[in-house]
Amino acid sequence: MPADRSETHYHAAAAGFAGPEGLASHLATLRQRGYSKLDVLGPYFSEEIADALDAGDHRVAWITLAGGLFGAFAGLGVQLYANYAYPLNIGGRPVFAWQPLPIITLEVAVMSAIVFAVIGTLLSCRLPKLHHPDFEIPDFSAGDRFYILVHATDEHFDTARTPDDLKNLGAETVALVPLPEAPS
Amino acid sequence: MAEARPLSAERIDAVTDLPLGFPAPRAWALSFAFALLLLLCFAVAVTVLFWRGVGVFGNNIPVAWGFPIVNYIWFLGIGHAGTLISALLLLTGVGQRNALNRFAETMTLFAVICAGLYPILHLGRPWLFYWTAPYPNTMGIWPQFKSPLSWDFFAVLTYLVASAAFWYVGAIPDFARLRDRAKGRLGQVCYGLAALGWRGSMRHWRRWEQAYRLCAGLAVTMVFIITAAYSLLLGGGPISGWNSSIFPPYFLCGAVFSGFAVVAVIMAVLRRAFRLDDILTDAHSDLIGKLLLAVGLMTAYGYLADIFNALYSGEQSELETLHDRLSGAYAWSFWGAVISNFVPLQLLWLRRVRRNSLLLAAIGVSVAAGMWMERYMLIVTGLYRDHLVSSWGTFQASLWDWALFAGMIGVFLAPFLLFVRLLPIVSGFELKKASEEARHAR
Repeated sequence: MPADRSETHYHAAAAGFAGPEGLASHLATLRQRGYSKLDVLGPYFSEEIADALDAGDHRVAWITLAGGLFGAFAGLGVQLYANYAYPLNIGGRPVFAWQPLPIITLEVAVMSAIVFAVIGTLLSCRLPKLHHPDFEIPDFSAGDRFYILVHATDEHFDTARTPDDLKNLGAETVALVPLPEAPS
Repeated sequence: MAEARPLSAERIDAVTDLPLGFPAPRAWALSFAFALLLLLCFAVAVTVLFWRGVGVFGNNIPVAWGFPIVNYIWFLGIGHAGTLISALLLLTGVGQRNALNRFAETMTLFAVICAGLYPILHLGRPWLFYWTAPYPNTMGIWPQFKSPLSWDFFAVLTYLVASAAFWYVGAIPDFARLRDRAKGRLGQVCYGLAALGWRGSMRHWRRWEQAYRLCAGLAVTMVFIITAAYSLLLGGGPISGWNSSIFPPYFLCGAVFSGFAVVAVIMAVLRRAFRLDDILTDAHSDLIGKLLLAVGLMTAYGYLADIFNALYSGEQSELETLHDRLSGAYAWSFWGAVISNFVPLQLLWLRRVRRNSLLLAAIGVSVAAGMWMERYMLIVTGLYRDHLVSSWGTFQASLWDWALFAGMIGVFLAPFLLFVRLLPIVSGFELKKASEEARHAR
């Protein structure tokens, strides 16, 4: 990355806000100034802010669907396989009795869909993580405050200008977030 | 609604910080000691059971399904309500949800654990319970998937995994908040690990929101599938009194009915113990009261339909089973169920009663006991008089049946109390969002 050396020591510039009001229009202002690598941290989901950040993201829904289909095939498959590989004649019932098959098929489908949804969400967010540079924001408390972040990898990021731009938005606190020292 | 008054930020902070500065250590310690005592009772009962075998229970031929199955169905039923109340209120966007969902889901989690332990403990050789799981083994043996035992294995496993996942996903943002606010190193590390590095990025939130809603939708479906599966297990058998197509909806209503009753009790206790009158409001009592009344009346319809089916069938043995239920050796369980399920319930037609959390909790206790008697009635009266006089018998719960039941309540109570101590009992971030939105709406 051909960035200025002084800029690579920073992770981002962070602006703290007490509430979600106006953050969506702040994002639009920052975009007008040319910034593109933006993020917002906050204590709860805000549809408006997420929409202002980027377009819809439906991958979790697809992952969940995949999980459900995988579970349904696995649940049905293991029953069919076991009934063939180890046929049991109980009261002359057919090896393929369709009536009980949906029970386990549906149960495994639901279980698998939920497990896929959870694991898919975490992995697509690159979690779990023991640490992240965002935590270096001074007095970080994402459960209480909203933060707008301009990442240092943004080509318009400037250690002098970006904090000023953020201050002009009316942020309560503005800070440059250092990159943690890489372990040598 | 008058109660939609937005809470102040300080108040929400105070409630979500409860685990960090616990306000009622003495009452909690006493309750926890009591729960540990019950847990000890569980340990003793299980030791005796493992040492001497299932003969210590009262169940025998013809009533081969005694307490273990009665309590299995009862606990599983209580679990269903937690999932249903949390998921349905989320999907329908009822604002009061955010105060109720956390402890209702927790109730589900521990009730399902209790339910799952019962079938395992009542196997003759419980240490071989994993044989019900399909896994490739050197014996070349697979489970019999046409057998209800195998359905039970998947039902409980699915329920446990899904309710734990739903609960945990919903709690991650609260873990993250506690991590950031904890003063002590231990709290920071433990909550930090539980939070999985959650930092509240809106991109993550969007995925989280999708996953949470999808899980809720799936959880509702799952409740229907699982109650249908284990009532089919009864309904599919050639036993008079069970062989009826009303069973799946009848079981679902009964399950949710008993669970809402327990939610009402827990709500009243938490509200009193932590002075949460502004968070678990009269409007919440009202909501639970209405739900309890509605599901209770549906359950009553199930009773009537069940009796009608027996009468309309004209089958000799069905009629005899009905007669046994109404006036046989176990008539106490039928009338006990009818009276404690439906008589106090009628008070809930009055708004004043619904909004009184203590009265609602008293009705909840009565319903939980009534539903237990109903499960007892269904299992025992179906079995104690078989088609042949030579296979008639009676069932008497043994000391160890009761000891294990008491102990199982400890298995529920002890981890539940730990939850009350270590996690916000209400969903902090949802409360925050709701009160922020309410403030804007004004």
